[in-house]
Amino acid sequence: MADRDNSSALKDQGRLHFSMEAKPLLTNFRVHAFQTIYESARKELGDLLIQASVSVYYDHYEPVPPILVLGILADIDGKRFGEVLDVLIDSIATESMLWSEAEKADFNKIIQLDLIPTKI
Amino acid sequence: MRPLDFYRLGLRIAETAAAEAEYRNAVGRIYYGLHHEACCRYFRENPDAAPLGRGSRHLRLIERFSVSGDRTSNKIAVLLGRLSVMRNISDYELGSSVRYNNFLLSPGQLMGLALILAQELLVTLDDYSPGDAPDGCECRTVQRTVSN
Repeated sequence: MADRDNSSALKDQGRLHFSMEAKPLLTNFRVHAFQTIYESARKELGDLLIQASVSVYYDHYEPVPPILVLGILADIDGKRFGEVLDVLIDSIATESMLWSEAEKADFNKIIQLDLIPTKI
Repeated sequence: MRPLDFYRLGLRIAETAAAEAEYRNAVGRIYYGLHHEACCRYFRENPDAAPLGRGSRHLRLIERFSVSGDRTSNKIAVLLGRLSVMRNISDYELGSSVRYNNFLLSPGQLMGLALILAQELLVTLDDYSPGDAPDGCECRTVQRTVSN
């Protein structure tokens, strides 16, 4: 579905990409949180994980701070979508038990997860 | 009307959509239906919760779910958050393809993705609080921004 270069997809497979725009907003905690979710996605999806990247989203409607979005493109369909999303959400819940209250608040305000199935 | 009337209208538009404006309109209706539905069910489950601030109610509602700590609520937050972004893109990025995260999608593909997320969100909302929101349900908001 996504209009993208296959060679760059292969190059990106196996690592988490941070956009230039996202880099100024990164902290050690946020990078750690992204890596944790990404590792869970890799474990669950294996070769079905095509690309993972962190980008920035600015809301057009509401005066709210920018959001960091971890987008995971996976070679799955709508049926598998919910199941994989559950795994990723569980991994965040497990990991968040080790976070401070401030870190949890930071995650909830700044970070969003996005799972994108290729088979729409 | 019921909040899900917007959602059902979005589905009807999607079923026959053939033009870009229709794809975009379907995404918007689907999102708004589910935003209102999620809000009504949130306050049904949390009748004593503070109203949402009117200037930032969409993001604040997502935050309410994300801080709840259980999987169902977190999943609602994720799905609602993504649909909110799709709604914004549909209404504001008017090129023949739109950038969603790092990917270029046609408006038709964006609508297809929105339908998958919407279906999953509706199932998850039923786990969270079974039963559609009633006729005339309004998302509880106040003029002044309430932080949480």
